Amino acid sequence: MSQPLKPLYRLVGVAGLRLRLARALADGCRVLTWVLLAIVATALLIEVARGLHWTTLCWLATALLLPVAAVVRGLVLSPGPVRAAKALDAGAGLFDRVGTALAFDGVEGGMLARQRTDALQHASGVSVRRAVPLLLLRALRGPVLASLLLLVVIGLTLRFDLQVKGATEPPTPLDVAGADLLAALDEVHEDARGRGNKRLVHAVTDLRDRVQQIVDEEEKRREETEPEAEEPPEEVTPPPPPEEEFALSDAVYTVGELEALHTQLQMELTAAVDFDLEHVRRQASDAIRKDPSFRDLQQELTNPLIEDANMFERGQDRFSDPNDMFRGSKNALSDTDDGLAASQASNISEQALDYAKREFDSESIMNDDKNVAVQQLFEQFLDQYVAERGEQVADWLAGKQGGPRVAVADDSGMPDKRDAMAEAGFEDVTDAETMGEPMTAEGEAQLVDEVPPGAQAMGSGMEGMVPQGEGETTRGAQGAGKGDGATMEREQGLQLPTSLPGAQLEQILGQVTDDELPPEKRREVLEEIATHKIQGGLANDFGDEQGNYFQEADRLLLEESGELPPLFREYAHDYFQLLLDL
Amino acid sequence: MSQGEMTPELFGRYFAALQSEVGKVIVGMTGVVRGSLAGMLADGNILLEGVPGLGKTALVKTLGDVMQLSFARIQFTPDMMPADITGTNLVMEDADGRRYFELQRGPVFNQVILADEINRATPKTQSAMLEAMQERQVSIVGETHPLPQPFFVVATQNPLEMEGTYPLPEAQLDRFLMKLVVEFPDHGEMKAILDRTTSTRQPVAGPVVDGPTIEAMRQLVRSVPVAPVVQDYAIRLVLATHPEKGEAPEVTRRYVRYGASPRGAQSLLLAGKITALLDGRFNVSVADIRHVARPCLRHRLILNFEGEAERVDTDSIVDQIVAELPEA
Repeated sequence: MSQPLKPLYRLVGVAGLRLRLARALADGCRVLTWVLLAIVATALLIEVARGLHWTTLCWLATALLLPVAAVVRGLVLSPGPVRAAKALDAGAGLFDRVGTALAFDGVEGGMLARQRTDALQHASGVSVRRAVPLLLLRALRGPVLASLLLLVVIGLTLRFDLQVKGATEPPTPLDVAGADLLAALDEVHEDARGRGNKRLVHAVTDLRDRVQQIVDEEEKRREETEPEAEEPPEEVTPPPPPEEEFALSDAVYTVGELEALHTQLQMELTAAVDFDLEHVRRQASDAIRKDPSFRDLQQELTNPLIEDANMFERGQDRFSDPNDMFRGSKNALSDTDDGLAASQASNISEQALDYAKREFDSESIMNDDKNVAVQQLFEQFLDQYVAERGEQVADWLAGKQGGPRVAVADDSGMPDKRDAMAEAGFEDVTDAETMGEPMTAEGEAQLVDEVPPGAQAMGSGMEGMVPQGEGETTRGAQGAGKGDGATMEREQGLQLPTSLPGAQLEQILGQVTDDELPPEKRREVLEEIATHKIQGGLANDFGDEQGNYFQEADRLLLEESGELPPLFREYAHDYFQLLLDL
Repeated sequence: MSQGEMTPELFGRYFAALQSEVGKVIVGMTGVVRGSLAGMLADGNILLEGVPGLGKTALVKTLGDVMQLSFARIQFTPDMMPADITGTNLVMEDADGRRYFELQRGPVFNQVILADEINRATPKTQSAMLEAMQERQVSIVGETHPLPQPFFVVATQNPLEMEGTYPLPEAQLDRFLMKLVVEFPDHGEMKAILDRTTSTRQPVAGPVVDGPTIEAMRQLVRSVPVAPVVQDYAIRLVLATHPEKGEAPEVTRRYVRYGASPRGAQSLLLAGKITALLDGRFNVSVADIRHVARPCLRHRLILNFEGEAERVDTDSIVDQIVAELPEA
């Protein structure tokens, strides 16, 4: 450093210090800008009001330290005399006089002496404060202001978010139950629509609309009474107050308070969930029961039941066996091959059982539904409904002629349908002598198996065959077969109309194979069989015939599922299932 | 006037006197006159570009008059040969009848050369000027002949009539210190031109400086110190004109095929020194470099196809480079 240029060096030194400080501030602001942006991004990502955690606090603290570190770094690192002289020249409009003078300090010759003098002269009146201001770089003003603005917005958002979150209640079990009930009704609606039951679809739609309305009204009521939400409902016993309460206020919560509040709310929720669930069940049940749509649905479901009961009643007048109502023209055993019919009936029966299982099995509902509360609520609803409907039907039937009941006839546990029919007002069909007017083949051709004349003639002398008039075969005569009296009675009562051709054929074929028939008669019988004039399968075992009968009954139940009320279907299904189990 | 007596103040006065004297004849064209004088004092050559009739020839002749330098005008044509410029050896016969070769000097053997419409000559003839412009000498039949000092070439070219012309090769363009664009005069300048050239009194420029003074001024120019920071800026500015360099901005990468040579940096510093002296300073600043960037670099940028297709002006490229290049 030469003596003449000492003033220049002093100026450059001051300029260097100011430049250092300015650069430190600029670096700090630059880093602060990025940090603020990072904080904003972090706040948006982790939803500060909900998920503040100590790691987040550490990150925020570290982020805020970065600008400080940038300032310290700017203060520590010196810009150097050349850079400081450049800043001074640029700031004071010296046109690189100072920089040139310092660059050629100690060098003589040419114009350098004049140049140094010129530099000293021009730098003498320079204000370093003006030449190197500590203002933020103009380019940084925008980002800094934007970041500060964003920070203010985030702060206001946090404050607002805390308040809103404090005033907003979490979804109540009623909300969950309502939503899941709507979902369950939607499933029922879809199922009913798939089955083509328009009345049931309409009824379910009405009920769903009503439930939706109840939910909406509940939300509306809650919104209206929100300022008074502090008061618990009358029927609801509030859970025991926690040891320390965190009343929501305008103040911003600290992290510790939020965590404690979160823990407390979890404990309260856990303690009150059972109570609330039961309360919600009652509320939902009452709401549904009081709803007109529910009554309409009940009526829609009850009318077919009553109609079926009437049909049941009418059937009693015409048939001695109430199971004949399931037979009709759809009895495959009467006009098609037994094996094929049995297979079809078996498949249909399995489908019917699966369907019944899906529809009524509580475990299936448990597996399908997402919310246990709604499952239980829905089951309770179904149980109550079924119980009520069952009682109503039973009462209705009992009030008229007594409802259908299943009675156990003997020690074997076999339900004696005759007893049930008797209790229901039906007559005993096993006693041909007590029959009223015999059924003619002409009048009930679809119910009475056709018997060829030859077979009828051959069977006229057989055991158990009771001819009724000319060319007629009564249903009471179809119980002929091998076995003891009790079995025969059950066969007569349960499946005689179906097994009669088989029994006859068995006897006929037995005689044919045993050479009990004369050759010409045997040939005639075989020809009749070959030409299908004698229809029906080979002699069937009682168990097979019974199973086929049950399967066919299930198939009919499935086909008429849209017409039969669920109660009656369940009753019939259980009855046949009980028979199968036995 | 010796070199030691030349001071920056005197330099300024001479320069002002030269401008004033030229201004007696040349109307307007302040920038061109100043640039021409600066180019001459920086020991460089000037390329003037402008349509015919703007007074380019008059300007150059006036420069020769005010500097008391010999002046020669060479009208370049396609059939011109290099010997027409440099001269040739002719067979001469003395009184005794003996024959000998005698150099018949061409017009290049003058101090101020006006190469009018230099782009009309063939490249071969144009290249005859290369050695004179750069080395200040010519080689004729293997013999080198120095040119009189100070030597100064001012070439002109017409930007409009391109048919039948031979664009100057890059090597020759690089020899010009600056390229000055002669603008069309405005209304006032036109009136002054008419007044001066259509009356009975013809303006005449008197001598201001002589050759030694010009040499002294040239030496003074070269003694102006340049701080490393400023020199670094000039280097970075030249490098920024090369698209393959890291300093090159987007405009260079997009439109420039080849940038300025090191002569460009020399031109920047020399022209910057004159600018500093004329500004009363004893050092070159970055502002001086920026001030002379256009005339010193505009003819050194070779545009690529995209630049030529879009008719990009090299001045705008230089301006953009200067605007984007930081000082330090």
